[in-house]
Amino acid sequence: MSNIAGKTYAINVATPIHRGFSGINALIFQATRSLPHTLGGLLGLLFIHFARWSIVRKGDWPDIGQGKERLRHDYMIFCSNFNGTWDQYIDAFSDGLPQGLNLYWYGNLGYPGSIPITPFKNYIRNNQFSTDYYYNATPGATQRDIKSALRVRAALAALAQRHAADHPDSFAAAYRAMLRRVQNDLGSHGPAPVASTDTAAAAMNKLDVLRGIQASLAFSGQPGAPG
Amino acid sequence: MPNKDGGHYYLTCLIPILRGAEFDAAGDVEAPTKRLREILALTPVRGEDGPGAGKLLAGDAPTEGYQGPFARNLRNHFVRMAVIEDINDNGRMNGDGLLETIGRVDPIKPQWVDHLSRPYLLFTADIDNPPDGPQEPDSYLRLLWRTMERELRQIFTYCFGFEGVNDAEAFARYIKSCQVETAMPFNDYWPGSPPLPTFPFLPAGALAALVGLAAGFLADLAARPAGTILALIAGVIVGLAVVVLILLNAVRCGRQGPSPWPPIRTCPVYSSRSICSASS
Repeated sequence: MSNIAGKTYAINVATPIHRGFSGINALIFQATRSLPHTLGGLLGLLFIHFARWSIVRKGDWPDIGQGKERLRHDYMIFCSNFNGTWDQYIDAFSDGLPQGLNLYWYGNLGYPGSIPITPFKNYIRNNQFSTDYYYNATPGATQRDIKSALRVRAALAALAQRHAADHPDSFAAAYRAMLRRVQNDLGSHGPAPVASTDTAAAAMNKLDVLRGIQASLAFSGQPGAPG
Repeated sequence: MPNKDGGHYYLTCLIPILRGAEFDAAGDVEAPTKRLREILALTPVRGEDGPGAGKLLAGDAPTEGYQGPFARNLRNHFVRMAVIEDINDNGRMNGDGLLETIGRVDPIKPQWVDHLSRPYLLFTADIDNPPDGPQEPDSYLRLLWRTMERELRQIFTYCFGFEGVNDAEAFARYIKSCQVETAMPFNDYWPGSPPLPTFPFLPAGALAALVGLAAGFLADLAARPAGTILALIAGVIVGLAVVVLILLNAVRCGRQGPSPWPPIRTCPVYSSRSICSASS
């Protein structure tokens, strides 16, 4: 079990919705998407990679032959990928966009409001479930690192376009100008401070097992063996 | 449906897990959820490859040489799997004391508590889906099968209904049958400030009022001597109709159907491949 991969934390929260309120909740999300300026607070946090809210109505739990669920409430499932610790995230959520949270969790059963923080944290903690497998394609990079890399990439692409046609002197000047412009984006990726010693210990313990599995695969010639 | 946002696809699935008992080599009974959790715990997670990549999870893991199976395709940003044993109860929900007394609600009597009939596997993936990209999630699921069939079999063998899945098409159908819609996707891989158009409340209100006034004036002229009441009603109705039309248009813009928000023309393609190449 690990909620952490590299510098990113995965949070999963499932909360019940008051009967008859999930339509209003869906409408709030719809309105948020229709009025993008309302996302300014979320975008201002600068540590969320991806997040999602899903509304699972009581009759919509997938039934592939195992039988329908018999529930009285609809549920909202919230998943987010963010940098920093759980406490930092919830604190920033509550401080940065308290009204937004109250809207997103509108009509959720037992939702105490985003302020004060303690009942809100208790609510999230009570409804959170842990991640059993978490893959992060860029574990050494924070969200800001990725945005920086994208800015450098855009600047390089613009420079590459000039390369074929420009005189060497003017190209050199453009290169130096670009280098000055993206100075703050030339950070380096790397390992995060140890956010969880438990996670580190679990990974150490897993290593021996992985070595055994990979060795047996290599012996049997199956795919997945280390190259 | 908003499974897409800013050039990304948000796959969200709830896959029923088997119930009953499994027997290990020693004959001990184990739950399928335990077996599944063991498999997930032992599946490598490492992302980026290349020199020094083994240190990226330092503090987390010295995982040299053990690349995670999801790293075999470069469309993934994040993938997670989580076993949901049951949904949590938030305790008794007390209503208004006066109303409950009038309604003869007995506070001693326990309230209904929701329980799932079986555990579910939450499977989510945040993947690239450029505007001109393939149909999702089919293309992505077929790619997963091609690149990590062995691991997928190990994981999903503990899920209900997986026994008939033997090829990429069947796997895509299986996962899609367990997909739930993402009501509100959000990403922040915008290198600058993303376009955040605001709804023109003031101009829209002024337009509705003007149209309503004009309609009222015309109704007043046409209905003389019926009086201003009729004109007022007509004006309000037409004004409200304009407001409804404007709001419907805003909702349509937000829904975007199969297209990502924001509109395609402002939607750059930020792939994990491009991120990796930009940062290497």
